[in-house]
Amino acid sequence: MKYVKELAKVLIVIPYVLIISSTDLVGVPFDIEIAELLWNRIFGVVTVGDTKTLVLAVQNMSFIFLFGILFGHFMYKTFTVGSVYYFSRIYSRGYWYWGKVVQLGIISFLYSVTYVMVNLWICMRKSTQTINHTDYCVVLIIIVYIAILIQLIAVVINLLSIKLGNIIGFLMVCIGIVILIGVALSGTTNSVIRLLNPFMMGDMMSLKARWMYSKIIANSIWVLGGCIYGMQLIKKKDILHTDME
Amino acid sequence: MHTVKTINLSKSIKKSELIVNVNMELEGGTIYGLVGENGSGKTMLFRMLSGLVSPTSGRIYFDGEEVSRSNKPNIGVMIENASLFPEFTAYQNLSYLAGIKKIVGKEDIIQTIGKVGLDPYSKKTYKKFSLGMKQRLLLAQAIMESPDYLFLDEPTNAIDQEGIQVMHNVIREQADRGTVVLIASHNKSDISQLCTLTFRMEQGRIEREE
Repeated sequence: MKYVKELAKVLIVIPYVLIISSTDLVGVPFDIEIAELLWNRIFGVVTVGDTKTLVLAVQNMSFIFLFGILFGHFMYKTFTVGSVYYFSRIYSRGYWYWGKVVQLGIISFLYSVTYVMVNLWICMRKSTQTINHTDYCVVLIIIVYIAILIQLIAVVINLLSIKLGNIIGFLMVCIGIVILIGVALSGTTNSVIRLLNPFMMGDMMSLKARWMYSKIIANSIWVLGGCIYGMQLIKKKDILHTDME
Repeated sequence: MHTVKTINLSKSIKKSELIVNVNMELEGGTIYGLVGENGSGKTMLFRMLSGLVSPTSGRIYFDGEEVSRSNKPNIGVMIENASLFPEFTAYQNLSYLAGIKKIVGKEDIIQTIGKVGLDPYSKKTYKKFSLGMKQRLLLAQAIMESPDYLFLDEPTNAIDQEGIQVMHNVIREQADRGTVVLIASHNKSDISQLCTLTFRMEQGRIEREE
């Protein structure tokens, strides 16, 4: 029953994407590759000098905020009502935490698959071309990239909420995202920043598989780092408040 | 026999000393009382004993061993003002919590709810319970897994005379099983009728009351 509820929350992204893309569904198809359309739908294209850079910009960010709203309290809620009687029973907070991280990873992946697939369906309607092997590879890369990114954001929201409260945690993550997008939009050529900034995908015309894998690895390191920090936080967290109604 | 021992247990938060060098030895089968003014550190001590708050310094031993992955004590705890899940019924609340350790089944839960004088089949949710009913259910969740260590913070608060008698019987039953029972209470009858030994807490320090 618990999993059905989480799955239902994941599926909210389908009507959400269809509603915000309603105008795209009625237009005339273009003679553009499906992969290119998909890149442009999910990431925004920013022109810096002569270079077109893919940036996960504000207009494409709402699905991330939606995920944050849906799952930003996934771990945090256990620290609110009933926390005294829950945490006095669990065998190990470390095991509990990593279990939650894995569950959040699975949810992130399902959310990413759903989101990308709905967008792929829209792109297939908008393109006169048929889907090919390259398109499938792009879909796979985007799914993995988005899944890692949203898991990172959800973990950070949860951890900051546990430390500082839900509203402050969510706002701090929003501010962090805006700063990172600002850096991405500045069109920096510093390769380290380009690699480490999860909201900056790379040059649109020269997206190489090796660069994409590097970005995925860099994001995975962010997730792992966040999770390891989180484990220390959870282990040391004092359950001090009372849950007075 | 189950034992609890604390050695120089202390807790400070933001330079404020809440628990100061608490040394205590408790044995199974005995009911211990803990008295003291509001804010003297009783609830904080209960949270530390239950593993909810980590000590700034000092150690806690259960049956001579420090808490570790391979030695997680079976603790029952009831903390003043700490709520259960407001949208759940009595059965749903206990069933959810029982799902964590998975050592008791449906029949045990129903029996425990009945033991504290509540209806296990009632559809009434926790938020609609009177304060006395909430206290009874909190005691039920504390004892449902037959704990070896039972820490009860104000268990008879807001309970009528008849209810107090029920609660006392339940608590005595636990001690008779060999459980270590520690009760913090402002209710003099709890202390006089139940407890063999009493500790007094003042500004985070503990001493045995004669």
